[in-house]
Amino acid sequence: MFHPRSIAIVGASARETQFTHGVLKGLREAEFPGQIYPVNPRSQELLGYKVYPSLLDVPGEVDLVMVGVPLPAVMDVVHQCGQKKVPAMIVFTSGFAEMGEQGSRLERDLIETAHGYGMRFMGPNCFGLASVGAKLTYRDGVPMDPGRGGLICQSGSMAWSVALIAAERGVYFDKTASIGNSADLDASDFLAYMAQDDSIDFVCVYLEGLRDGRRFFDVLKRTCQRKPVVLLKAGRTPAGSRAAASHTAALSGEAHVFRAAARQAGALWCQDFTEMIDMLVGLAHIGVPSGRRVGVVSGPGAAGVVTADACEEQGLPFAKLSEDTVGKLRTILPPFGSPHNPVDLTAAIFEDMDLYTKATAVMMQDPEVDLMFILGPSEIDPALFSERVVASAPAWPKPRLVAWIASDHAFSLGAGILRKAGVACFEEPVRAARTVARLLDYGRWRAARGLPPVGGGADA
Amino acid sequence: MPKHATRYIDEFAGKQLLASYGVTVPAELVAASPAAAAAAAASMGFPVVVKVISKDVAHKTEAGGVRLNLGSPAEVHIAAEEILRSVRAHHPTAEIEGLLVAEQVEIEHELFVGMVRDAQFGPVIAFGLGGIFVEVLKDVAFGITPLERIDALEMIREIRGHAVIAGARGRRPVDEGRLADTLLAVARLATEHPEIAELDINPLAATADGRLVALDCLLQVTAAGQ
Repeated sequence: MFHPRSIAIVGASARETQFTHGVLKGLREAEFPGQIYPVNPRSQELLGYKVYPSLLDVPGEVDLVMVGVPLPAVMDVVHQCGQKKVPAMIVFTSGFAEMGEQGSRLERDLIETAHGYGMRFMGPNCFGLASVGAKLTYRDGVPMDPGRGGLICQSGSMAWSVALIAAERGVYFDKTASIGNSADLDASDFLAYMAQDDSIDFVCVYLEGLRDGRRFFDVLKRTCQRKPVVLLKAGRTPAGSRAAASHTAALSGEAHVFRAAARQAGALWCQDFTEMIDMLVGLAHIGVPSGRRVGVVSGPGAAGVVTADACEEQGLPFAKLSEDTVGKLRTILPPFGSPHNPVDLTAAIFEDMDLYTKATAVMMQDPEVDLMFILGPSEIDPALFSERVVASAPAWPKPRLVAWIASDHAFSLGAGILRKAGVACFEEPVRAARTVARLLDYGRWRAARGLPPVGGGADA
Repeated sequence: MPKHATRYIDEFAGKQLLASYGVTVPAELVAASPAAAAAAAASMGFPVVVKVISKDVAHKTEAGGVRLNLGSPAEVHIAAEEILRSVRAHHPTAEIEGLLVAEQVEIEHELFVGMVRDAQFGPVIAFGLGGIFVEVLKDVAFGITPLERIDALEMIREIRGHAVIAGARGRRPVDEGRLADTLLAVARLATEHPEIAELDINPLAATADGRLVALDCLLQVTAAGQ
């Protein structure tokens, strides 16, 4: 499904606001190398492609049919797919089970008909697939840069947003599945696929509902044994919603049970969207550190104190630097700087921005330090600071991240440079600390089950 | 949830089931009358606990069906009569099967272990500290089956009150390996007995002499075996 040689888009529209138009435009922009057959009885040509009046008029085999016709016409197209022996469909059209009982009947009909022809399908009510390697996408404007992530989203617009937000942070997805109602192929199917896909190092899953929790749990657990999975489940109902006599039943709300299942399976369970994005940055650009002892290097200001609190809260001890390291730092630091962790470079950084990277390089050599927090210089020279970090980062042997407290203006100047180069960069030290703690949780989950450590992030 | 579809297993039978899965239960005897209860207590040694046995009374304490720390045959006799009077007053139609006379154990920590069936995930195992920790603070960890030993250990360490059972304030720490065994036993029981819909072991007592004893259990069974 991720590697079709030919695609038909049935219901391909000339109107730019229509989803099918965006798909066609996206495939053209991505330079999809296979055959593309738009189907629409009212057009002859669309975006330079020849348009066919019906799917049955399309010459030769079609590996994947995207169905974007209005609801009443969907079943006719499904039958045509069956006659044409199409193996797989993506049904964009809405109005199925998400619209109540009548829609549910239509959806059951869709499943039975498709399976009757031996076809599998995504959706309905979905955006479908993107695959950077196959130059396949679900619309124009989807980032198609190479990346090591996999993305599974129940909601199509959420998939698009996650892709764009992640791209702003230098995180890209090799494959995306927007599964919609997942009447046939569901989150478990795509997760199982991405688990064994060697071009994917980590998977992000956004779910609203789930039909087969058991199977999902089993697939999730097997996937987490191979690679990390970030999981956000929206639409949680409060605890105590069960009518029951026992304490256990009264306490076990859907949210608690799902969270427990996800954590037991080894997933990086996220409370909210912000955490999910931070986790993606962590997986792509930090990786799972081998230990939790933090080295901190900071310029002047409160960031060091705030970071100390955040790390303490998250169970990340500050490393005690060796005598050797302290001695080396003394030779680098200005007279009023502190060569002990957190290393304070003082306002001397504004004279010499290289102090950051010099001190970091020394601390990286200390076996007591497992990873480095580099706290940016707030409002002064954020771009210069970031350029220096980017220049030095490839030579550093341990995980590192940048966090700072700064205005949006200064932050975006610095972050833009860091993120593009694959250096994890957080708006607040507390978000960095929380992310690292969760990455370590995953490492601990693996270690406790006798699994080897996963490799570092794509750029770590 | 239709009430008629469920029933409770009485405490004695419930504990026997737990015991068959390796969960320690107190030494206890069933007596048919207050006089028999007094005699049973005398044969066991004091102090003892006396409780009503009835499938129709899910919450015995609320119905006056539990008396603790009874030190002599005479105290047992009087307490047993009072229990029967109180339970009949609270539940006039309840069928009373007898009286349970049990050793009174010295509790170091009150723990809580439970099981409920989730529509998505099947058996869900719960663990927490007993009393206010579970009822007020809702400090409970959950796990689903198949529950592995490491999962059970992580559940035990996940609760906020973990320090309490890890030996805080000079109290005897709970043996976490044994506690994990208890969680695994409940998980196995849930898997092998699909008719059991819900289960509370409340409290599971960590005793002063280092045992983990299921002092009370509530077992709800679905009539259809579903």
